[in-house]
Formats: sequence, structure tokens, C-alpha cells
Amino acid sequence: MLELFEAIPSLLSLHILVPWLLAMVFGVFVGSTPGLTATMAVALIVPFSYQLDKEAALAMVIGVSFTAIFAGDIPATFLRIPGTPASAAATLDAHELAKNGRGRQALLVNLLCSALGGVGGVILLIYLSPALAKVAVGFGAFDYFWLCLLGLILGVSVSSGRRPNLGLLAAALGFAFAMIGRDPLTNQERFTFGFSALEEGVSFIPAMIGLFGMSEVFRAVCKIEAHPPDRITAGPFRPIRSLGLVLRHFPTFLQSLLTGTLVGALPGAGADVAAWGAYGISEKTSPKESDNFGKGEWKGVIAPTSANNAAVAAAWIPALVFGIPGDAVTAIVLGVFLVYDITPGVELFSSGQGSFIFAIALVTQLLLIPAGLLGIQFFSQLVRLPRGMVLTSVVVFSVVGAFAMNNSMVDVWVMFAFGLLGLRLENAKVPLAPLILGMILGPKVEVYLRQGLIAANGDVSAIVASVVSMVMSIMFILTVLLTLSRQLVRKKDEVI
Amino acid sequence: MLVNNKSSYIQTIVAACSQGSASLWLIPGCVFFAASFQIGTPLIQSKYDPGPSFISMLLGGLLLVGGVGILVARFMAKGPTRRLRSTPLPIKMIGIVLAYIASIPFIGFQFSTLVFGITSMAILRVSPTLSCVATALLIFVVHLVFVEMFGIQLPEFSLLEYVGS
Repeated sequence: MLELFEAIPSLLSLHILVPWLLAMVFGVFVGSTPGLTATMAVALIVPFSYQLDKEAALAMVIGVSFTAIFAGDIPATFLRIPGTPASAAATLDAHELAKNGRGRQALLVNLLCSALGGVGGVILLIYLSPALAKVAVGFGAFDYFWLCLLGLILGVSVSSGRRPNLGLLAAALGFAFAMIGRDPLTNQERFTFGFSALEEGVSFIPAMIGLFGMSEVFRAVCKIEAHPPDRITAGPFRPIRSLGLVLRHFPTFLQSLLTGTLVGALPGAGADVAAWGAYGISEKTSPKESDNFGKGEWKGVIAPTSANNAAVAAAWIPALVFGIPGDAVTAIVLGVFLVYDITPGVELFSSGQGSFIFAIALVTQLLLIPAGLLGIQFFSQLVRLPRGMVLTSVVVFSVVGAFAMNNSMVDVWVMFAFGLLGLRLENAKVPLAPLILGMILGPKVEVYLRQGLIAANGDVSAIVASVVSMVMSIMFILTVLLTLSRQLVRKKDEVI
Repeated sequence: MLVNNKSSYIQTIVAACSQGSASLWLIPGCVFFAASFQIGTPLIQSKYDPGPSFISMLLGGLLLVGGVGILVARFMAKGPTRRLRSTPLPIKMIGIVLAYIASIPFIGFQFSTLVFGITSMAILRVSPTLSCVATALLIFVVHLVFVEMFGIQLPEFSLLEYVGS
């Protein structure tokens, strides 16, 4: 810890801070553009970083990698287009707040939670790295299977509101869509119906852009045709009140921080699982506000945004201890580490290079606030434009964004098809979030289940053999029962 | 009393199941369930692996059961079922987005976006002058960010190639 505090002053010189902050502003703007990902931002900043000192270069690359999720929350709040899978959970309540003229405040709360969640995640990372690494190594395929299934059911339970049965079906539909393409274990084609374009599967990002963004455009057009054009107002800029909101919900923040750190430390679990898990736990532990989740509840913004940023910090545990990158962004950053002779492993911590990286990660969370504020102010001005202009721009950016993923028009058609599906589902009052959750977590559930069965030589009892699996399976069953019984009780009240 | 309780529970379950549209689940359920039988058994599959069709069969079955459940609940529901007030389809907007996407490979991104932007904004009641300026600006920003900065090759005008071939 002492080495960490010694490393921080060396980072606070202008020749490091200026490119660092500029890189983070660049990360926020790229990450908030639909279709442009954090991976692209990090990849693009790497050649620039080689022109600078080692310290400035590492600060730039790590800084951009940490801006991704907050940047993805900006279009999620104003346009209902989550920039990253980890932003999907926050979309539900943040967009509702934006529709009520509190979009800017929702993003301020989000920014504070992201920065504080990141700081908390880094501090926990420093202290818990060795212990969490041991726990993560001990996780088997069935433990991951139950973790993903629990994340899925918690997300479905919370995001479905009063219709968990429809949420469950939507999740099953999303899961089924995710199975189109090649089977990850055997490479066998599934549901391609002879179309070579479907062999690579349904791209997740175009589907998400279509389901949330395009369907919202269609719905908004219906409203404009029925009433005079309306506008989303960004709302007032109230940083102190936003800080007050975060402090008022500090237990939710703390709970989500811990959830995010624990989930993020597991290789492959990811910030999306952390966000949905924290969202679900927050709803379950807030019986008074549980009916408001999905309708603009502040806890619905605080929980996922704190957890996903804490998870990003914790995802560095397997990356730094074992050299296992959890995602594409971490893989690029690890590649940059190798260029500068920084080798992941236990020696990293004894050599003092670990403290240097932790110091960069810590200061990055603080620099996220000015970079994020610029992004919020810029987008707040954009939403003041006439609604017709904003909606047309959303269509164009959705088309270009879907195309840019793989330079393929097939992805654009996927985006359009999911836009129509989203409109149809919303007309039938089916919640959309479980569908996207099924697409994200479904493939993980399948792979871990099958890997576990292969490893256990087909012994089905092994599915609950470990303590972790046993506990999580009980939690899973309880969640299913509670969710369904809650719906029956509500319906009974309505019938009576 | 027991009969009353039982009937109340049946009513509750029926009401809970009768939400949503059955076709939304029945159609994909049939497709996924039937198509999962077409998935072959790969040579490299472990004998302990339930195989690539196992989960898809379960999911197709679940969607079918859900759809049938909603359908049965509708029939069982006493009295007229409350119909959901559905939003009218924005046919014009869907049509021009469809035409926009379909035209991109033929007339290129810039030209199709120009036509789409002006038409779409006109439908959405933006003044013609403003819509022309906004569309031009939009094309410029997309070109700057996606083409110049990230080197993404957006489709260009290629109608003559199609005519020529």
C-alpha cells in the first residue's frame, strides 16, 4: 500500500496527465457512439501511446480501457441504446428517468457510482487479489454454470416487473437466438437453414441496437404521429444533489461494489453478469421500492453502475495474476504490458510494477469524472435538438454501427429484424431486457453445463457436488419460487 | 370453502398465464423445436456431452409450452378477455428504413443517407431547410468518425457495376 502512495505523485506531472485525460475523453466519446466499442478505442490509442514515455503510454491505455462502460451508459440513458452489454441493466431505470427530464442527473449519479465503484474495486483488488485469485481458480464448470444461471434468473425476475412468466419466455427466446450458428464445443452448425451468413451466429451488438434503439425509434414515431413532436429534456445539472443521492443509497452502493468485485474476479464472468446480479440483489433487498424498479428507481441506476465498474477493476485479478485476459480490451492492454516488459504473474507484485499499475487504475477513476462530465454535457446538448432530427440520427448511427461490427450488411438486417421484434414484443407488453439477458448469459450456461458433464464423465449428481454449486442451486430454486409466487399473489389480489 | 379456494387459484393461474400473445412463443417454439431434430451428431462429440441439440430442444419445448399455456388460459378465462391496447405500426417509418437499408449496397451509404435523412425528417415534421443541413452534417460526422478515424469502408455507389454485369 505504501508503494502505491509513492507511485501516485510520479503520475501527477503534466506530460502524463494531459495525454491521459485526452485519451479518456476520446474513450468516452468513442464508447458512447453506437457501434464503436471500447476495444476499438483502446486499439486505436495504442499506436499513439508508443510515441510517449512508458508511464504516459500505460496511463493512456489503461485510462481508455476503464472509460468503456460509463461511455456505454450515455446513449443507454438518452437513446435507450446500451453501448456495452454491461450497460443494459442500467438502461431500464436510467432511460425512464431521462424520459421524465432527469437524464442528466441519472448520468451524474451513474458517473459518481462508476468512479466510486471503480475506486472501491481497485482498493479491493489491491487487498484481495491473492485470496480472490485462489477462489477463482477453485471454481469449476458447474460453479460457473450455476453462477450464470443465477445471474440470468435474477435479471429475469427483476427486469420482468409484473410479468415474470413472459420474462422467462423472452429469456428462453433470447437464449434460442444465441444458439444460431456454430456450436462452440463441437463446431456443429445449428439453425443456419443453409444460409452461410448465419454460420457466425446472430451478432449480439446489432441485435441489442435493434431491440432497444430501433424499436424505440419506431415507438417514438408512433407518438409523434399521434401528438405534436416532443423532446427528451436532459434536465438540470445538479452534481451536489446527485452526490447526495449516492450517499443516501450508500448501502446499495456498497452491496453492489462487493457483488461486482466478487463476480468480476471470476475469469469470463464479466461486468454484464455483475451488473444484472447487483440489480437483482438490490431489488430483492429493497422490498419497499421493488415495484419501482424498471420505472425510474435510483437504486436501479446505482446498483448496476457501481457493480459493473467494480467488476472491470476486479477482472484485472485473473489478468494480472495468471495472465488470463477476461475480454478483448484486457487482452490488448496485456499486449501493451508485454511491449513494456511487464509480465503478468506473482513477480509483478513483488517487483513494484503491480503498485504502479494499481496507482494508474486508481487515478483513472478520478479522471473519469472530468472526462465523463464533458461527455454528459455534450450529449445533453444533442438531445435538445428537434426530436425528428435525433430519431433520424439514431437510425443512421444504428445502421452504421451495426455495419461497422463486421463490415457486413447481414448485421444491419439483423439489427432491423430485432427492431421489429422489439416493437412487436413491447406492443404485447413483453419485457425486452430478459431477451437480451438470455442472449448474453445463455451461451455461457450451455457451455459450462456441457463442459461440466464431460469433465464429470456424465455424472449428473456432480452438478451440485461442490459447496458453491449447492449454495447457488438453492438460491436459484428459491428465486424461481419467490418470483412465480409473487406473480400469483399479485394476480390473486387483482382477481379478488 | 375448499372448492371456492380451488376455483380462486385456478382463476389466478389462468389470469397469470393469459398475458401476452401466444403466437410470439408458438411460432419460434415450433421452429426451434423442429429444427433441433435436424442438428446432426458431430464426430468429435464426447459420449458424455448431451450434444449441440440438447439445450435447443429444451428451449423450443419451453417456448411451445409457454405459448400453449397462454392459449389454453385464454380459452379458460371466464368472460371477455381484456385485449391489450396495441400501438399502431409506424408503417411509413418502417418502410423508409427498409428502403434505406436495401438501397445502401446499390447506391452507397452517402447517397442513400441523404435521401433517407431528408425524407425521414420531413415525416417527423422537421423543416426542409433544417433537415437538409442536418443530413449533410450527419453524413460528414459519420464519414469523419467511421471512415477517416477508424478506416471502416462504408458501401459506395455501385449501381453501375450491377447494371453492367
